[in-house]
Amino acid sequence: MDKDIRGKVAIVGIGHTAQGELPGQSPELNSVLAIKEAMRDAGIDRSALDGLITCKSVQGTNTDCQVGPLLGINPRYAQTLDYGTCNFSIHLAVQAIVTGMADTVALCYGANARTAKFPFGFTAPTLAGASGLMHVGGPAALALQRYKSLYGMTDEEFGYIAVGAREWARRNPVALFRDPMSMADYLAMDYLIEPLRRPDLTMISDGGVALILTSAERAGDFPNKPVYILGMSEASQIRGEFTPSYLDREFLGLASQQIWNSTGMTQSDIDLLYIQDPTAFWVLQMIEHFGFAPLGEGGKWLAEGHTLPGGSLPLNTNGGQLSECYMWGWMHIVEAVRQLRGVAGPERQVSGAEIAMYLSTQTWFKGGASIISTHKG
Amino acid sequence: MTETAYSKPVPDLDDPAMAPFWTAARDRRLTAQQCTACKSYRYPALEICPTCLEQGANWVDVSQEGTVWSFATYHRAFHPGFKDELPYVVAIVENADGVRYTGRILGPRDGLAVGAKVRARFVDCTDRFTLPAWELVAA
Repeated sequence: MDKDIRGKVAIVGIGHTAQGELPGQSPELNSVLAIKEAMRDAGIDRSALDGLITCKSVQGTNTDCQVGPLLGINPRYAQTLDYGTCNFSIHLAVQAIVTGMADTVALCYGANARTAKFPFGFTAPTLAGASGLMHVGGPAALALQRYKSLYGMTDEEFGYIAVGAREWARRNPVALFRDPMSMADYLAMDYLIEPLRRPDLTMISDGGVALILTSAERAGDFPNKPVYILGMSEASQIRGEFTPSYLDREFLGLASQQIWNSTGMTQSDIDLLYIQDPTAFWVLQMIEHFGFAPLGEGGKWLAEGHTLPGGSLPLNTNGGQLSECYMWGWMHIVEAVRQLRGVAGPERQVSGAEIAMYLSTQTWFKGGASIISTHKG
Repeated sequence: MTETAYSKPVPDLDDPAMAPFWTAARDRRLTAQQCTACKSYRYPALEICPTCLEQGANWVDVSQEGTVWSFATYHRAFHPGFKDELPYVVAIVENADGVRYTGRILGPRDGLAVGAKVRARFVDCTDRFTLPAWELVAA
């Protein structure tokens, strides 16, 4: 069986709303407004769409059946992912397109958790909740504390993730957090959930993001340079907390092996790296699990400056969730496409970037990796 | 102490799956489910043993000695009930039977570290709710 998906599907449209506070706008409206922008970017109207994949909002809304009435179409193929962090949505779209279930698919995410005041302080009615474990920063802080204990990473080494995100965000007009933040500034900040500081955690914001994917055969008909999917992989740890040491997220190593084996690429082929970053520690873990730095040495590797502006492997050039906006990592892929098209603007465009990798996770349950490029193979 | 006076989150004590755990905590017993077939422990409760896929299980007393797998120190109260105790520590503790519990570290924190020895401590929070927590054991 031909399992090679390389170059068979391309991203031909990107769109998003303003990010930040969008009072009175539902996740579904934000999704549809983003799809409008993506259709404008792709030079199509709704008659060209025969697929829709929506990603549920944090409240569990924004399903395909809730977006459908606003979008005004009944596409052949419609699905909703429970936690469709961009990778998973892209991978599902590739599967639908290569199997002929759809030709041109819109993918969307919408959020209003900021102005809807979603209670992130919510605690589960469990021993952990009664003990005060709350916010995704809690588990991330537990994981980071253990990592620091095992490998001796300093706060400064770890700080390169948040400081680097801010450096990139300062070059991005969409980003919500653009004030300068030096390493000294970072280190002077109090801990929020020790050993995490405020800038090591994403802030909730409202917005919508959409992508349009189509088959390689059709991609040439669209106005922009197509960005092809060259490889994709996923791995799960759906046993969750019943997996010993689940916070170490070692299962991501399987997604890593699979994407390098299936594409024949290595870490040195990657020009741009995007990592979904609700917490800075997830970034460090993924840098190591995907082999960009050896286990336990990610902090030292970061301190060498590879991921900063001017470095050899720019990371989250939009500022990521830490400094750009919440959006569950969807804006990372928008940025990757802009960079690969060469339209990211003079301040942050990475010259000659041809291959980007995007990594995301659903906390400690699932992970995905995608490699995209303006080249088909 | 009455329930209204306790301002922190109270777990669902009436959840039939977990009620035996909370009842035992009132008696200063730390418990876990044990599979009647393969004797594996599991916590929190599950309807079937994920090791052998047999359904039979009993709640049994387990060791109250453990080690800190990791810990996090909250400097902000995301729930107002914790405001007066900042900074507070939440840890994942693995007990001597290999069962992992997420709970508070109470009392002196000298020597708090990954791998530190702890023992269970029970805090009566309301008439019905006793919180199992942990305290450091001097090395």
